[in-house]
Amino acid sequence: MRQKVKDTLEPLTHGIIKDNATFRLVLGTCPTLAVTTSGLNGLYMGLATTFVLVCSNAIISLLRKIIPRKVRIPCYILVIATFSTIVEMVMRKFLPAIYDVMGLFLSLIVVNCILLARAESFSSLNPVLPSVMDGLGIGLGFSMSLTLMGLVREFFGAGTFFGLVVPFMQNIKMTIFILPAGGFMVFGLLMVLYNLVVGEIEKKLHDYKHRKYIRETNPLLQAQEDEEKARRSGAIGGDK
Amino acid sequence: MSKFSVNKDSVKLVIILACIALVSSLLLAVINIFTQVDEEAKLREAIGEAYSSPLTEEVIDFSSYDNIEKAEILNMFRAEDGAVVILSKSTNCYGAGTGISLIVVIKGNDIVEVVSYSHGETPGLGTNALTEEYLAKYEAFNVSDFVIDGTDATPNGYKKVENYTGATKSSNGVRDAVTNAVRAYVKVAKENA
Repeated sequence: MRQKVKDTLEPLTHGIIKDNATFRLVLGTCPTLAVTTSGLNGLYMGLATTFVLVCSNAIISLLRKIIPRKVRIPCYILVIATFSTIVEMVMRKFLPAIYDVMGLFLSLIVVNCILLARAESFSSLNPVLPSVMDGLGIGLGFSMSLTLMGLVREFFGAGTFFGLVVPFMQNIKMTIFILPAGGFMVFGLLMVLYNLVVGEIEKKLHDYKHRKYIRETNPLLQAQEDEEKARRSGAIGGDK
Repeated sequence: MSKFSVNKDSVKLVIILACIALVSSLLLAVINIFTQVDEEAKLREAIGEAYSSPLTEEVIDFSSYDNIEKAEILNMFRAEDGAVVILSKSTNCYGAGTGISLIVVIKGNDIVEVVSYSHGETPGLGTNALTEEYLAKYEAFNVSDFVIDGTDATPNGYKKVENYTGATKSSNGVRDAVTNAVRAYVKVAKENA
């Protein structure tokens, strides 16, 4: 999956929807399943990963001509580890409650395969701006998926929504959704749902683009359509 | 070529790696200065919220105390009204990496306050055993209600607070932490007083 891009904004939208790290690429499954016991945890984990991803992508892309191919993996890991340690230290100081819940998984961002995959397949080949956009896109997509999973598990498992108690869920909450087994269940179901919905939208979009392309490249069809339009507007004008 | 010749390429690799490592360690050192956490100040603040009487500067020495299994005393302070404030940790629970840390305040023969300080339990599940209502059940007991005799490392079947259904392991952790705190109080703090 080596890629080079020219458009700066393209990687942003790609990362959020088309290459969604959780539901499409199925990367970073370990934090996805372990941390998403509540929506807020998922959100914070996603944002922490996004920060590391953006920074490490930028630095790796800056250094892409200096880093020798033979030692590229240790170099990437060094850069990623630096930023994930920064996130850990900052969170420990300013968000101690979240730090206590996520503790281990914050340091495990270092070995999150999303980061290495992006470094290897994108930022080591592209200039800084597209790499930052790619990091932002993938990171936001990851955060959104994690928050969504956390919210679903929290809602059905603990009967709360972002920590607020939902009254009618209190009597029918199912603890299994918070347990690891429930995590796998929610993960699978959401993946099916995501690919159904987004796949359908992408298909429609593709069909539309295809039709548009044919119309634009075929002058005969265009002339026909213009004629039709003129006739129609003429008819309406006649009625008045 | 002499025996000790060095490949120029490998020197370059080492230098680049070393440079990146140096820069990143410098960066981390700078950030570390700004984000250092004063653990004791944080703990004293948490105790201030939990218990009305302010703490004295006195820190009780508990180095001679033998903990029960999977439990540990982290800190022991004395409050101005004579109460002993103990930070007690137990790893007999699910979030064993973090453990359950409780602030236990004992005054004379009474357990005055049991408050959760930090834990790694699952929200909505293990945390049920760390709610104020559940922990308050321990406040109904005296020090003498606990069986703390015996030299073996296990707590002696203190079962008066029933485990929270669905959070058995976390309840066990809470029980061990409280039992260990009471045991430490009897063996260390009472003698010093």
